[in-house]
Amino acid sequence: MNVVSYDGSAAGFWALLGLALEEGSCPDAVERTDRRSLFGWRAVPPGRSALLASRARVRLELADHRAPEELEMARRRGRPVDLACLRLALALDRDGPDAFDRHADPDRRAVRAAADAVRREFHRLEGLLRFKPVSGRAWLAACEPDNELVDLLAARLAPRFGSDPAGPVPFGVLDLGRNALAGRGPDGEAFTESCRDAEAAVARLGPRPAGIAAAPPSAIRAPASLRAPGPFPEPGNGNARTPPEAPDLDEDLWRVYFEAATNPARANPDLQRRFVPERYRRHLTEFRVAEARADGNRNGRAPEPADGSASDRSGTTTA
Amino acid sequence: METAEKLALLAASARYDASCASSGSARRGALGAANAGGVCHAWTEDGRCVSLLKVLLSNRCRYDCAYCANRASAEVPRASFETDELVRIVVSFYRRNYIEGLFLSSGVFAEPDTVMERMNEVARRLRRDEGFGGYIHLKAIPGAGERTLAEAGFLADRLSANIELPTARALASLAPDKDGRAIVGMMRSIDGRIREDADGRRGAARRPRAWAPAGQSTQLVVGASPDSDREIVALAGALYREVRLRRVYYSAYLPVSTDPRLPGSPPPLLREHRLYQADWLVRRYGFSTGEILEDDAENLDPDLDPKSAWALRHLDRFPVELAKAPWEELLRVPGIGATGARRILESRRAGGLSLEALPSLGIVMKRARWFVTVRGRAPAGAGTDLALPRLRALISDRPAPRGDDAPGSAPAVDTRSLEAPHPSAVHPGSAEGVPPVPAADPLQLELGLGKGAA
Repeated sequence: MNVVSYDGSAAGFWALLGLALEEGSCPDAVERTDRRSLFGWRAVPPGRSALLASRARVRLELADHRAPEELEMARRRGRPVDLACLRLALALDRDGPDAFDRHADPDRRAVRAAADAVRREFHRLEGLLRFKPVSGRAWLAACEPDNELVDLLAARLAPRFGSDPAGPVPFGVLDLGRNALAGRGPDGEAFTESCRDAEAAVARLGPRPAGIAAAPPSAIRAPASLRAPGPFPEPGNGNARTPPEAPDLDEDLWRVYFEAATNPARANPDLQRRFVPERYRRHLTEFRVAEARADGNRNGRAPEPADGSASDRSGTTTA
Repeated sequence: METAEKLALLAASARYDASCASSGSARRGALGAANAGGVCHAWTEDGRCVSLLKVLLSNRCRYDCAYCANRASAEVPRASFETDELVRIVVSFYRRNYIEGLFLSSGVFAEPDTVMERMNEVARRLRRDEGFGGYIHLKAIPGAGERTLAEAGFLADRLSANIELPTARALASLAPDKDGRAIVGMMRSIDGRIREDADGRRGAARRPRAWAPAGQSTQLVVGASPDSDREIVALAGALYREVRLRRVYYSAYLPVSTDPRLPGSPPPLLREHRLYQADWLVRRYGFSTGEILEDDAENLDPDLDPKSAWALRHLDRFPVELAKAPWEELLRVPGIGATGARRILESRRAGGLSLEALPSLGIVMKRARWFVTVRGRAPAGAGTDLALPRLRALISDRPAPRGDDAPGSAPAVDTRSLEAPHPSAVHPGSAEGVPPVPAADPLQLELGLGKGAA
């Protein structure tokens, strides 16, 4: 049985495709020997890997301009579909766009399903990442995606941080499951690298400041029942740990907004659950409302309504 | 009043505005960028996407619209944001990735031009002082001056003027301070400026920033007045045609007071859902408003999505041969959406289209199976003639009755939609097959819509 193994990295994947296209044959099986690492590869002699990868991209681009992006997305799938990618690449090389448009073909279906799943999660996390100030200038968001996404997310969200007088604002997106960090360092350079935990991520993003910048408490006061800071998410598979945090008044303010924006007369928690599955909630500021309330109750306080018009069920807006 | 209390109050006051889209603009600033596709950042317990920080600048209002929580006569706490206060919240929420931008509306607490200028001030601070490149949606206040509106369009990605009620009659009864003609006039003015902006940029070597690049939208409250779906759909169609709205939002009315002019119970949420489905057919699938509600039907069928209801009225157009049908015809088949239609065309070109492949193309076979063939073959069990009621039951998507749409509160099922196919039906997508756009309704003319009304 012809089994090919590689390290699961992007470079390894594309070199693997290059090798298959060069030889015109597909192995019986593909194995990823190191799923955790995003870097390095062992399947092809290092001296040829870059060339093979580059050739594969060009050849597939010529076969069908949609193919490289689709295969790259499928590659990022947490449950690998490498063999289907290899077979589709060979079919594209042979049949051109027809291979891409044969939607009922099992390999095409597998690749499409994987690519679509990655795109869906990317689009979802694009909105559901929550950044926290972790140093005087740096921001960090933690997540545990099913798929390999941190570099894409960091690239998409970079404009959100802009620059301050000291230069580009450092930020990072940390994949706790894969121990990977992507973002922009204090030197302004974009990076993607392995990172053992959140403390290491904070260190990578810049020196620890004297204090966390926050609005003066006189300017922002959350209702007392919502003031208890929630715990930072439990670590994922990567045994990550996050440093203790100072009270974050803007997080409280966001919880106030989230509650007030809910229309109780249209409650539909099933729909909410469909859009925000449980596995994402541990990193979402707004889902710590319940915990904060529970804290308030334990302390003998009745939770205050965040909504100033709790009894109001009007049907429209002004203007 | 502290910021958190204001935020709670002014966000709760704004939550009935259904619009929260952040799509249609691709601006970039020193701080952030608008994403043309739009992004949802959270989902509240009512299942709605939170994309923008949606707040009122103030809930103080001179108007006394019967259906509105912030009406002048309502005894509710009143508050207003300071400009700096709101700008700081937006920037902080944006950096944290809680939001894609700001949706700013307001009660009419002063002269319209003053209110709009105050809203512009917030947007101006964001754009100019903070370099904010995220999305901004501003409410256009009817009655505001041209200069104020002109600046708003340069600052905002989207503008909107809410018409709220579908007929002049309903506006006169429930919102006597509002002038339907003034609202439509504001929409025309916005549309005119968007056209001018587009014309001005055509051929220019260096293209200046577009004016309101994400266009304009509006909202209609459904069920506060006795207006029918026909009137609502016709008005939406007229607005899409005449002032080129990007979106019409529909918001089911929720009881707010014991005012005898208002209904005692809310309409079923299903009615709102059907209106959105009908709206989608008009905006994306090439249906005319006249095709959505044909003959004398006044309301959409609660048991069937509007496309399925249309298909049952036009059975002579089916089955559609998927191996030959053009794009426009594919889109009219129940169970086939834009993605499915595209994949059918691609599979056809690649020689891989078969009956067996249809489910893998993303086609909803529960509905499509009764309306299609592939090279003359019908899906298993679908070739037999079924009585219309049986077919109707098979493709119905009506969920099990719930409290909010129990019998009695739902609009009556219009059995006319089950009658024989429309005699004028020819071919989907062809000029003859599409019923003519209905003449402007007298009520639309009262709102300043329709031929000669402008």
